[in-house]
Amino acid sequence: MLSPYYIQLVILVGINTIMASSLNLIIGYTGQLSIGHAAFMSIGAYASALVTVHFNFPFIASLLFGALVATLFGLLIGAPTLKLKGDYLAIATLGFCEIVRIVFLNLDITGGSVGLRGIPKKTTLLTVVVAVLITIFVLNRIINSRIGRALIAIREDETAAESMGINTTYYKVICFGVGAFFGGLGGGLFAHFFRFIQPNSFGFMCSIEHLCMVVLGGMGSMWGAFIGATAITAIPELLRFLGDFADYRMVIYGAILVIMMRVRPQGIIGQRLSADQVSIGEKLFNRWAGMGTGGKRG
Amino acid sequence: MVEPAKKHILYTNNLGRNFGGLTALANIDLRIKQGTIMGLIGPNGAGKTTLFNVLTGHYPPSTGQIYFKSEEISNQKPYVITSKGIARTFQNIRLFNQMSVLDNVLIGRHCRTASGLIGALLRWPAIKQEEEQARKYALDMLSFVNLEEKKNEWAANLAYGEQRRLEIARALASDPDLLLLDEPAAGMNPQESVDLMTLISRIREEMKKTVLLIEHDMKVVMGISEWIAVLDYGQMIAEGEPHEIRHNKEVIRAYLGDTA
Repeated sequence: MLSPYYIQLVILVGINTIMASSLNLIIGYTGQLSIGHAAFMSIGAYASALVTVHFNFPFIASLLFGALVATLFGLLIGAPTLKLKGDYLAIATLGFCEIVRIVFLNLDITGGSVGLRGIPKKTTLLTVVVAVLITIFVLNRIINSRIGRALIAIREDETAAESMGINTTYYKVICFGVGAFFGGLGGGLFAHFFRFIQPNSFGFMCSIEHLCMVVLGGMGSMWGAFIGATAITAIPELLRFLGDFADYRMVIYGAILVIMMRVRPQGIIGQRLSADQVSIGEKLFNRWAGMGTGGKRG
Repeated sequence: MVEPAKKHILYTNNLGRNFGGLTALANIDLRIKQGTIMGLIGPNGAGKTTLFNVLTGHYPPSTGQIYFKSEEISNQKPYVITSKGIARTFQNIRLFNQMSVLDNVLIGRHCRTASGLIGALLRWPAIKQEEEQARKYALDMLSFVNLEEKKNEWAANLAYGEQRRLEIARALASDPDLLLLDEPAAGMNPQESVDLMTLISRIREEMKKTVLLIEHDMKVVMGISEWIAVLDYGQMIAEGEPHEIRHNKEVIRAYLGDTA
């Protein structure tokens, strides 16, 4: 049998796969730079943990409740910020993430900075595997449908998408709603595994880690999100076995990320058309950095 | 000025558009007769593309109204106007580069299909059937512009002339009554221009569409348009049949200056 250490690692990989693939829908497929995914995770974690602790909700029901509350906030953040593009949207989602963290730090019901303790341990390897499979199944179905096509068209050229009859605002709201749902699901699984949550677990660094998983694995690829989540979760752990060098593991981890971006900017299995054309990631980052041609009029 | 009538699929009254203090369009009374090919010409910066952007809802008009099939569409959003039956192409080709050629055309079909989130998840037979029909329609459009063999290529990998044709196929997929083409012959060699003229004529003859096109290539625009409107400094300075426009003093002055 697997040792508890490995089981914990696999569960973490699973939760991070859910987080990365749902963020991939927002960033990789729809092209909306959201760097506040941890906010949905924390809302899902707190909402599901609170109904478990206070109302004795069954596990599945509390997970679903957490995911739905996160969806609600996804729609709330989605509606007013969807006029924003690129880096402006990034700042807005980052701000949202910070607001959520600070609210949880100051509420009594969430235990403030001490965190929420005594959550029953209900997340098992099996539940995580099932949740991952459901997430990937649902996201896959969405991506390979009329809706998914509309989302990708928005990523490719929002102006053209709108003039071809796509209600871009509506589809961006859908995308944030679905992304937030699975983000919240990941949060619920997280809370019921570690049995303790505090607001600072879901801060800016957590969002950035999710972003790294998507970018490293490859934007706009389902397998990419899984591989990115696995790599980012496992590399720091594997580096523990370096013996004397283990102290430097975070440095090495950082170096691996930098080298990856230098030699393979499209991610491990990201799409790239041909040598002279850029990958989705490069294109989006160029546009976000204001160097692209995204703003031209037709 | 011609009074608007039922035969006009689209007409505008006193249409104008300002950007701050700049008047990009003023007093435009455009009449497009159903089933015709109409040309829109004028020097650079005359406001032709701005007019397209106003007609398709990208910029709301500052003054005046737009009527399409006798219904006012002045302040509608672009996606609503598309679903009412106006589709366009762009001057600087705007394809969905990292999507297949077929998917590009399927996006044009978007406003004629309806399946939603639940449908995407459960894919009951009606949803599959809708997708199947959309696919068939898109393939028909691709074969119409002779791009069927490239359906699985990425749009970005097509040659320039093919990309122009793909944009037309994508617009046609939304089954528009009025097709707006923004400089479709730009950057084409003489042979490609001739082929394009044939294609535009076929769109009118075989598909019964009305076409409004902006074009700088005079051979193309004079060759296929039955009616031509001329813009200069945001004003419509002349309209008429091609031979009238060719000899119109105002038009010659706009293009060549006073000394000509």
